[in-house]
Amino acid sequence: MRPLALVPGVGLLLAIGYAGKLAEGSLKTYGKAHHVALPNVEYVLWAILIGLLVGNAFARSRFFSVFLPGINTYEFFLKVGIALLGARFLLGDVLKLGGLSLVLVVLEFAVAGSLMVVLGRAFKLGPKLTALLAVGSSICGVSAIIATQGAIDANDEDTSYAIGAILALGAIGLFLFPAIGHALQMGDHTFGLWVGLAIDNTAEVTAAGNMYSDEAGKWAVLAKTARNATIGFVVLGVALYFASRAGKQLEGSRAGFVWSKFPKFVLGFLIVSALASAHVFGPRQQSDLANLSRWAFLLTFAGVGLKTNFAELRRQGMRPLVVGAIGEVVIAGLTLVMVIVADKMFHL
Amino acid sequence: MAQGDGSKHALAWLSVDWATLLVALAIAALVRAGVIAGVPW
Repeated sequence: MRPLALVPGVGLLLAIGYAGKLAEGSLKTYGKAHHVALPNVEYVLWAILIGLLVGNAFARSRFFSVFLPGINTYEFFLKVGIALLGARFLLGDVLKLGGLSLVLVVLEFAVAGSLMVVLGRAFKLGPKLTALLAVGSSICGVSAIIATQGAIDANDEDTSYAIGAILALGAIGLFLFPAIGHALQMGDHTFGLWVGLAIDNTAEVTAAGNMYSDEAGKWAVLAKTARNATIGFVVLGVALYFASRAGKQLEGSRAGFVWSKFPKFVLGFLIVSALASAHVFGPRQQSDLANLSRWAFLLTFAGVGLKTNFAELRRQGMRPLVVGAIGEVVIAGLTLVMVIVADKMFHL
Repeated sequence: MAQGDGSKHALAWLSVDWATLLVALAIAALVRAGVIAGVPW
């Protein structure tokens, strides 16, 4: 393929992604200027939404085919972005959290993952959409969904749905959690831990924790970081599961097939994360790598939006959102009970 | 996910996956060396 053929599409990805970033910034600025607490709508969701509108409005017109080769590069940006994301997930962060909190993280992880799988089956969602929702709700919303999508090659509609569900519920949680915390007179540590366990996206966790107190914000971010640190292992597990499921229909070396299907860029994520954990990168270099991965995702999700088909979304109906909502409410309730019991028994 | 078909030609193993892995590691090396620095967001 001629590199020049990619230029219009990549330019369109950049324009849509950047519009998403501007939309996120504008909403924040508006909220601050007017002293209104608006939910933090991440650039990822804006990029998908704008991409959806542009893609569905123009996909049938003849000139749109000029953009297609470039738009199809979004998978490349997705995988590079995931590998670079490793710089933000340090394995050592898990240890800072302390034993008891770590046990709660593992419990949340098991409960949230299993619950989403059960709900996904009950509502007859596809296995990949169920996996995305399970990973998103048990680890860390958007980053985990992004990484898993690449690993199991889920389709764009599933990813848009899973991200939309997790972010919409996170935005609601941002307001509800501090109100519940105050009503129950929860301590800073207990509340921070709850928020870090129950809300799925790092931005909303940080915001909800800090809305309560600085101390709660610190615990919230630590608990969340511990969940985030497991992302590589979970994506590895999910990728192996889907690769081996596909392998059942084949003859020959199963291990060889699993390896051939195994997403190699996940190794990139693990290598970059290990290098960052070993302090190979300075703090500025880490933030450079994190920013580069954000730019890659900006292009990726403009592409996901552009390739998502409204008709396909309508076919799926409201079930994924219902599953996400039921799951999140149950997880919030269970984790609340967990932190309150832990506080009563062990005085957090 | 595009996977290489090893039987077709010498560089067939270089699938999208391997290419992204190499590109990501090259970027990480360039950041480490200070060639890429001050990335805004």
